[in-house]
Amino acid sequence: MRRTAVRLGRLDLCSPVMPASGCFGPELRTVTAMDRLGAVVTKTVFSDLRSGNPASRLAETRAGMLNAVGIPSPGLTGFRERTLPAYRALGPKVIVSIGGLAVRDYLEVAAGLADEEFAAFEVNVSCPNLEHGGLDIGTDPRAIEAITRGVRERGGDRPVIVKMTPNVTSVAEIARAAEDAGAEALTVANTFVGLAVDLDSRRPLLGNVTGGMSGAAIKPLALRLVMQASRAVRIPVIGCGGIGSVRDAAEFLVAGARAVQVGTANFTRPTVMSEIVEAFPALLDRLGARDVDDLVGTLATA
Amino acid sequence: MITTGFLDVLPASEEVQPTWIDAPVLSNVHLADRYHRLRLAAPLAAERARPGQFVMLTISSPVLALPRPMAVHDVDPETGTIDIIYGVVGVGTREMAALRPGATVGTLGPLGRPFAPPPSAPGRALLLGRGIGICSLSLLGRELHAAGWDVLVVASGRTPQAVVGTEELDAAGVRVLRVDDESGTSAPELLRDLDFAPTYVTACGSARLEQLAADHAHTAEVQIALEAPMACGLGYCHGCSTGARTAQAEAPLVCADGPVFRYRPATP
Ligand SMILES: Cc1cc2nc3c(=O)[nH]c(=O)nc-3n(C[C@H](O)[C@H](O)[C@H](O)COP(=O)(O)OP(=O)(O)OC[C@H]3O[C@@H](n4cnc5c(N)ncnc54)[C@H](O)[C@@H]3O)c2cc1C
Ligand SMILES: Cc1cc2nc3c(=O)[nH]c(=O)nc-3n(C[C@H](O)[C@H](O)[C@H](O)COP(=O)(O)O)c2cc1C
Ligand code: FES
Repeated sequence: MRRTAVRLGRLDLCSPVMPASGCFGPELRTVTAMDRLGAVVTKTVFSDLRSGNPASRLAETRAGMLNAVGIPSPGLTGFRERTLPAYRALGPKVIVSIGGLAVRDYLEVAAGLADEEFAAFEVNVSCPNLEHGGLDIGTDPRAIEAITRGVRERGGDRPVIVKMTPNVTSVAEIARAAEDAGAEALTVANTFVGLAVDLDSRRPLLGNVTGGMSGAAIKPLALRLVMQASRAVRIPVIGCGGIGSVRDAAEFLVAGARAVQVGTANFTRPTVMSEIVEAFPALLDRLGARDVDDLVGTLATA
Repeated sequence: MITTGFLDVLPASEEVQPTWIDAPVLSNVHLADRYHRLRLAAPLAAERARPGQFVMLTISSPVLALPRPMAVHDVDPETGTIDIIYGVVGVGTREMAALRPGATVGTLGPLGRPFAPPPSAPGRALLLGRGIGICSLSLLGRELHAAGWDVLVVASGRTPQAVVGTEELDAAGVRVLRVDDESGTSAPELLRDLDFAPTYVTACGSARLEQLAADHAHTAEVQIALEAPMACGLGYCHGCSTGARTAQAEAPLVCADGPVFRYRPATP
């Protein structure tokens, strides 16, 4: 396991592979080996109960998919009583993903979870900002700073990872805002906004009209963001977007990520994360790398 | 989707223990119309599957991102096989039809809550299925028949050729009424007067049959199997919402809370 161990700020992980928020659940424990995972990440939790979006919530696209699940949430009480204990029982370190529709919502969830036992917060800023006309809250550097600082102050003394939205003009600017506010790592990135059309009815396939695009089709887009973000900051970056094999994971490391998250590929192949971890030593040998860290940010662009 | 009443979540009888396997394709044959039958070697799923449950099938392909939910039509625990009957309707099922023995299909299952016949003494069961929906009822029809129920399966399709998945029922001696649109025999008004007072009614595969089943709710236990686009099949992606009316914050999920639901009329 030593060759796959990585360090993200204060977080020591036995492997660089973890699930992406919303694409994993304790339900997978009978299907895949949990002890290979560096961490497990919860679905984003909001402070209040939320019902999520109307059906249809999913649409497959070529080599990818759109989702408009809309983050149904059990609320803080349900999360503390049911969700978190189920995640803790899995074994790996638990990263809790939190969300909100305004800055104060994030601070409320962080404060409400401050006394619970888990390893880190991941702040999902790809939620529509109700105070700013519904654009992703993570497109506003000031909102990013306020959320990062606030969650650090109120959420107990634990690392804060900021999960960036890809729907921005300059990922470097947002990444620096998060770093300046004390983020210990960045996850790059969440889903890209997309649309699927049913030609016969001339209606959108999703109940919510638009949705978040994920899966193999977005891998080049996410790789580009990882390169740009990791070159803009000193804190570690967790790469995410279309990863479905150990080669994909290694490409993200080379582009600048220190760890990776696997989302959509879990649906296609529920054993994929542990298979990636098991395949790392052979790939490292082939690439002449000592360990995973050896690959990080080695992309030669000059 | 039925709007005259509520879809209640059936109690989970036992914890579902799904397994994942790269299941070898044993056979994949064309039946009739757009329908095919796929046999997979999946011993644990074959042993554990209950009537109404489904599997998620991943066909290895550079264009597909998601597995496809398919009802377990038949199992043979002795040889460790499960059979799926599927209709070719789009890109995934087209690729499924091209599978040959020797290929493997990623198979996750069995999944979902099975049919839950009322625990009373054997009564009369009316199973309403249309198209591919008939396949969700095959195991149930045979189990009830073997347990001493008086079973009538209504198998409906667009054409006589589109009524598939009934041979196991026939072989087991279950009564099957085949109806189709071409001959006009599938009209709901005709199916309303079957002279068969059921104590248990199930429906799968068409809104009209669901409504027909719902009309029995004052005198019978009514259970309906739903479909929705799915990604995980296990209940964690929250993609397969029923959107049904309930008191809960989030509507039930078809994969983990269903696919079989109990219908309760709005007016008791
Ligand atoms: C619990 C359950 C059991 C099922 N059992 C069977 C069965 O036994 N035999 C059978 O032929 N079909 C069954 N279906 C429907 C089957 O899953 C779809 O026909 C199939 O996914 C279509 O895939 P496609 O790529 O060919 O079509 P496309 O239309 O190209 O599919 C694109 C996307 O839409 C989704 N989708 C399209 N139609 C449906 C649908 N009706 N239900 C759910 N998702 C859909 C697909 O999964 C895919 O993600 C079942 C569905 C569910 C939910
Ligand atoms: C069904 C679904 C639900 C998701 N839910 C969340 C969520 O609750 N919070 C979040 O931060 N990201 C969520 N995501 C985004 C993923 O975590 C991930 O960033 C994205 O899917 C890209 O990675 P992938 O291509 O490996 O799937 C979701 C993605 C999908 C497909
Ligand atoms: S398909 Fe993922 S929750 Fe039902």
